[in-house]
Amino acid sequence: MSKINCQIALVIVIAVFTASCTDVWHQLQGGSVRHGVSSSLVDYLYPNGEVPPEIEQQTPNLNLPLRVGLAFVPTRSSRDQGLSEASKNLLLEKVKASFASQEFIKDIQVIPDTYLRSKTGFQTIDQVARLYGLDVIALVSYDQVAHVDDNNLSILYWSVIGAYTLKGSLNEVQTFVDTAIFDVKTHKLLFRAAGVNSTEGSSTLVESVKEMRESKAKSFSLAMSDMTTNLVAELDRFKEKVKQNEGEIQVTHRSGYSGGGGALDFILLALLACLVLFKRAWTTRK
Amino acid sequence: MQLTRRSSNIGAELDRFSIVLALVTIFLGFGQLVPALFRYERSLVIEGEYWRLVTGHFTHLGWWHLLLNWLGLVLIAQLFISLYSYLYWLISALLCLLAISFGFLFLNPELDWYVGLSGLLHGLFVIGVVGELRKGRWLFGFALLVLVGKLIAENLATLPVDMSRFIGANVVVEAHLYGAISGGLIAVLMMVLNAIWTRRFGDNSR
Repeated sequence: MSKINCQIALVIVIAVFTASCTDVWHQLQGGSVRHGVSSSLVDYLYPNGEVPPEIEQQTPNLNLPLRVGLAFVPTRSSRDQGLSEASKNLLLEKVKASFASQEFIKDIQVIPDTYLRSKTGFQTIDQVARLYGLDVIALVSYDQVAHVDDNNLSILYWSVIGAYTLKGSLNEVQTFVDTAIFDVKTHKLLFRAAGVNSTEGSSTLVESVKEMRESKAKSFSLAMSDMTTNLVAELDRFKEKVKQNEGEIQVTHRSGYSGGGGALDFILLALLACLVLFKRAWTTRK
Repeated sequence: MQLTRRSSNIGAELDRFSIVLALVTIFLGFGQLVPALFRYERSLVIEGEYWRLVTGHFTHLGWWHLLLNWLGLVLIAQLFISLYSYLYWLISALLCLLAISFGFLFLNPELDWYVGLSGLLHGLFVIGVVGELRKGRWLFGFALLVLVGKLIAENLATLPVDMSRFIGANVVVEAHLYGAISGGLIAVLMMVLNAIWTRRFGDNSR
């Protein structure tokens, strides 16, 4: 074999190896694949296809100010690698901050989903509610799907340099979060609100894992913000509903609750005005 | 110590009345600017923020709430301020405020927070009515009966007009009750003190 043939053969071998290398890497990263992570409220509350009990004619009684629990519904499988506990806690703290100033809420407890993971169903919810002394619990379920696709530039990933420099991987993350608020005593759904987000981005092959991780976290955060906004609107609608249909949900106040306070009523104001007029008339006459 | 008013210069009295009212109004407005710092909050009082026992009464939920109580204050001042000296009113008001706040602290442990002047206004009203009754103006006895009826109604049932909707939060009716009771006790206490003072130092001593 001549020297030139040897060189050509060497180049071909190197090209094949590097292309395989990037291809294997690419496959490892999950190119053109779909990742999904989700938690289902219905599956959690009624596991193994359990049929929900008949609706009892029990009227929820909201004893203001409310003690509210806030938790993510645990994922179906412990192998599902969704958000970390720390990230979940951070997101729930943001939601908590949006509602903490509401006058009818005494406090909001962020409950780690590890507390809910051991068992399923309303029995677990009742146990946690007793533990925290909750009146109402807000359960956040979610569904996140991430797609990784390659565009035309990805053909140059074989060159290794292309894998570092060319943004040939397209990431698309779609997130749906839903918060359902339950009355703990009656297990009745009071109201719910959802939030959605779709985030797209592109990255180099080398950075695609990091980019995907960041996109997932960002999409979760934006969906939660959307959900919080919708939750505020739903809460206002719920308040109106309570005012209009007084029989459906009872609202009572804990003794002493009101804060507010000291407001002179119109009876006393009218009495004072009458007395002022009387005293003036009496003084003038004298 | 002069507890009863003797001055008869109406112009000067009106000026003093306006100045006192303006000062109280400024104080009320100031309390409105930073309510979180001034309102009665049980846990913070227990932790040592004792000023809240007094300042909580000068803080309000909103400008409407403030306006309502300010109107009551003006009417009560119009009615009764000439009965006693400013020193008398100041001491009485302070005792009344403390009595209401300690009432919350010991009798209403479930009450987390409170704002509003109406408890004090109920107290001042009773003090004023007692003063008028001492002067033989028996019509004020009828006013006292109306107040007692109102206090019973709001503490045991509800009043026809729900003020909570007007001020944006529930009304702590216990404040009115504690204010009225402490006002009555303070009026009696001040009468006794005044009598002792007069007997010991004579009517013209100060």
